[in-house]
Amino acid sequence: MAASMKNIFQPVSRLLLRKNPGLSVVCTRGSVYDQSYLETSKTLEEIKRPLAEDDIRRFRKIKAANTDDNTFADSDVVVGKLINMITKCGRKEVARDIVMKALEYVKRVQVEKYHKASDEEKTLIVLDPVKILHQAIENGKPLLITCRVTMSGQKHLVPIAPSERRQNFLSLKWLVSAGGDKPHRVRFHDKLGQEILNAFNEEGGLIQRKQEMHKICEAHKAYAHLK
Amino acid sequence: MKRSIISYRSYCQLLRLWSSKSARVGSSSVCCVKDNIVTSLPACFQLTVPPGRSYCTSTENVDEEEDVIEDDIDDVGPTIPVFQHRTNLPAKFRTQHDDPTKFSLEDVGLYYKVSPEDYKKYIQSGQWPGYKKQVKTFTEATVMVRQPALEVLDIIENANYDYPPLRLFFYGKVGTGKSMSLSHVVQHCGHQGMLTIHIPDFNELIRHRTSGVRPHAPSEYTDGLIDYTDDALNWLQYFKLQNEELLKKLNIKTTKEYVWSARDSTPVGSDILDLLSFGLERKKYSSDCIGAMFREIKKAANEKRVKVLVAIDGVNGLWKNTTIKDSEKKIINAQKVSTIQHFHKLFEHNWSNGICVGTLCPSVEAINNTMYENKMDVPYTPQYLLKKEGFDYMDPFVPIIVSEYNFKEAHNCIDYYIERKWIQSPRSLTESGKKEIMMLANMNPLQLMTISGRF
Amino acid sequence: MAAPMNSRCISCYNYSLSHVINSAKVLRSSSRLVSDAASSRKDAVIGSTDDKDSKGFRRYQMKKFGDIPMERKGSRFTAMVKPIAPRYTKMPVNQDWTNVWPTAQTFKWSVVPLPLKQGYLKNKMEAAGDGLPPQKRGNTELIKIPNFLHLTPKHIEKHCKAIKKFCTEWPSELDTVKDMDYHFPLEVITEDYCFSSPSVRDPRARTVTFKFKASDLEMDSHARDKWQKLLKSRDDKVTLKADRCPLRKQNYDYLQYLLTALYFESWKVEPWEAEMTQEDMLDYSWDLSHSKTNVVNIINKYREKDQTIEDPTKRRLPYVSDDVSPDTVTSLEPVKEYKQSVEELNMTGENITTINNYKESVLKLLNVQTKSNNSS
Repeated sequence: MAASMKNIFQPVSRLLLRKNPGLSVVCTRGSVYDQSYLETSKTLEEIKRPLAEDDIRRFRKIKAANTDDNTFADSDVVVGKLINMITKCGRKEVARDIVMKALEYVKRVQVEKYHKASDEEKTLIVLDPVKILHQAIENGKPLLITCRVTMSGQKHLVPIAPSERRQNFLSLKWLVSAGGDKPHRVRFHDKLGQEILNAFNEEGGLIQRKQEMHKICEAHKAYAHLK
Repeated sequence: MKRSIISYRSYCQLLRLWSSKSARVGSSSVCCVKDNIVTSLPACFQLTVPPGRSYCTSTENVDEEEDVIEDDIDDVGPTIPVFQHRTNLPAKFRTQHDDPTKFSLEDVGLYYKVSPEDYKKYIQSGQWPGYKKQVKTFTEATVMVRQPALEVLDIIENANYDYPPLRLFFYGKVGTGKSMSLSHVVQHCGHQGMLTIHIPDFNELIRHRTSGVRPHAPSEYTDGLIDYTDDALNWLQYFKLQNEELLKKLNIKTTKEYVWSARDSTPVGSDILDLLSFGLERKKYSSDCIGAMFREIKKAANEKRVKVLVAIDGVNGLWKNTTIKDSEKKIINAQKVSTIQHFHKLFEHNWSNGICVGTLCPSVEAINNTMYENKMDVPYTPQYLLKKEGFDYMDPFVPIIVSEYNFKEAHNCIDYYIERKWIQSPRSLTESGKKEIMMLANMNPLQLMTISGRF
Repeated sequence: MAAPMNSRCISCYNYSLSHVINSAKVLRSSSRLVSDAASSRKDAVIGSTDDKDSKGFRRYQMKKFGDIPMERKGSRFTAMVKPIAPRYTKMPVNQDWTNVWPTAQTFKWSVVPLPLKQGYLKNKMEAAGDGLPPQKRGNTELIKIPNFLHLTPKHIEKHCKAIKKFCTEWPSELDTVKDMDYHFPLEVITEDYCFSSPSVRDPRARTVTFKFKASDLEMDSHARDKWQKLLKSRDDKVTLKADRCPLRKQNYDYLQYLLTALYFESWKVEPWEAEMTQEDMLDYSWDLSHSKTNVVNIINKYREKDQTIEDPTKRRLPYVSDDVSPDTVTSLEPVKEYKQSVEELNMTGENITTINNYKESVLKLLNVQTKSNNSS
């Protein structure tokens, strides 16, 4: 029941509201834009395409584009999320730098491996760091996480199945903390890149954290009926 | 409200139709659109990776039939302009041969491969760290042939060596390839049998070191000057690496006895290689050793026994202040360092059969501490860097500009990175993507190298 | 209001005759007033001047409840009066604006016939209507700012016409600004101040400023150079300001003296000026520079080698003859080009063209051979 309560208070998309006019939802996050605003065009092709005479965008107000959005080749949603998570004190340029260098590190290792490998091995090596990042996060997603439930004065850890959204978040969060767990002299972007590669190969700090979580869930499986 | 929803719905339907149609053809231009507007329910990480279509202009063969032809989707809406064109030409960015001595103007903009020994000898030192990493990753060292280097080589080949040496200096913005051009020139001359006196990174000698003051000592030979002991030794090793074979062939003998101390002396008529090895053994005398060697080399050059190329990367450093303070806590100028003075004397007009090449390079501190927002905007012009003293000394010299890449060179650079699997993002493999990268880097070679790591 | 006064006056006038009759008259007139008012209530508009009695005097109509339709808002009643149209709607297009707005006045929105808008919409609520800036009606911002509606061209014309009889004609020699500058090169600026305090004197009133152009003074190149050094500025426009003396006249005399002294001093040539070096010069002079000595040296060096070669075409510098004194060297063509390029480098600064020119001149000077012009 608590889970279903939670779902109501998740941020709901504008499209959902628009399509179902009878639906009333308490929106927990605020926005400068009300319902009448349309989304921006975020790709170069769409921007350059000429508007039709009766195109709705001629008559409606349009949201402004985010500073994160760009039409360049290096825009990816997951990478953007990772950058946001590493940002501290609003210093996004620093975070962006770090993530780009980490991905470059990953690419460097893979490309070197590629050039030194034989022709058969070459087809098996993944070179795109963004794909490696996606796979690493997939590998780091926990299938079960614990939740605190108070029963008769006692706080129990109850294993539950997390939503897709929660899984992604935890995977990224653990990746960042695994990247920070390093000796003083090692650079963060190097360590982060190494962690991404490790997670891609099913080893390293991220996978360890996930497996620890699974172990705890296994240990507390008796309480599963409480949820 | 209702009417607006209906019209919006129809808009979405339109997009779905377009995307379904174009998915058949295979272009990915509309897929992104669809993903952004239509599927906006808790999207989480719905990835907009378009269907992997390699638009790489690589060396693989390309069929004529696979050209992308956009259908005129008249029934649905206006045609989608084609932003992703396929080129049918295979990429050409390598030269036909790797011999640095035989390039012509047709080879400008193409890469040639450098053998590992040549790389260590001529090209490795003095480059930006990113280039060294790149060589390691790509498992090969390549250098682009560029017009300023060819111009200098042209002058070197046709110069009249009976006369005092010419002075040719590269200048240009930060990151445009001055050190690289100089290395190319040095490699070319080394292959042709010229003796190369090459300081790969002069600004490094002047630079502030946080790890400690440069090891130095008062000069043995001249009062009032100081020696750089470690640096002289390191340079002698580098010199040996470059020129050992040539010196063995040439057999230059000393014409004067050099008495280092009560016990050590080099008699007349001994081989110059003995001087060299003495300098390598005894750190204390390595600076003076350099001076002695240069004296002999100049004499030999005057007698037409050897052709000399003097190449200093960062000539404007000859008049800068070092970071060493003398006993009175005053900063010592580079003119007071005997190790540097030996190189300074090579630029004089009292010998022949040689040529002096160099680059005019702003120092790393100038780039880091600059007040300009963009670090690439540091002033780079010859007179500004040489300042009054340097210009008065070096005048008349030939300044040769190394400018940023033109379109062809930048395109070849990106093609090379694609071939080496360095540029991975699917959008960058297309022509429009390549133009985006060129624009981001502003055609600057160094920026291209650092930026392409992101794509 | 005039009517009762009149009737009372009449009554006063006739008072001596019969007080009773007058008072009866008054009563009668007042009752007639009432009856008249009652009868003509429907026809007469409140405040109009049409309602007149038999003698031609306007009648006062007292306001009664019901005359004006009232609107109730809570406990208050407000008159639903049709507002009078603002004055600007009734203005003819060809009116004389100088009569409407003769002097400087605060902005009256109903009088100014311009569609003005002034202001800033701070939030969405304010902008909800049409999103345009606030109109002029009731706009305090427009009242706050100064307006110059009393200074239109027509106004100025009127002012000029009024003053014209006190003026003489503008001299024909001073038609253009150039002529004015030529005949009156020196500008003397003094200021007068109003001071309200126990003393009427303002200490700022003693400053005198001279403004003129240095190019108006007759000076040769040495004098101009020295003038610039004395003034420590290379600008053509010179400003001299004096407030060191207590009286304005004294400051004026001082500045005159200063100007004369500067001018004549810059013409004088002192013996120690011969010791001037390159660093003291304001402009770059190639003749005194290292560049010249370098060129002379290098040509000498080349010539030493050239002398051994018999054939003049095979010499490195074929344009050099046997005489290599500094004067002859500087008169050679390539050296002249070189000199020009170096001077340009130093004076205009470094850019692509100047550096390229320098490069070309050096290549010609040293006769550098490349593949394209390979002769030997």
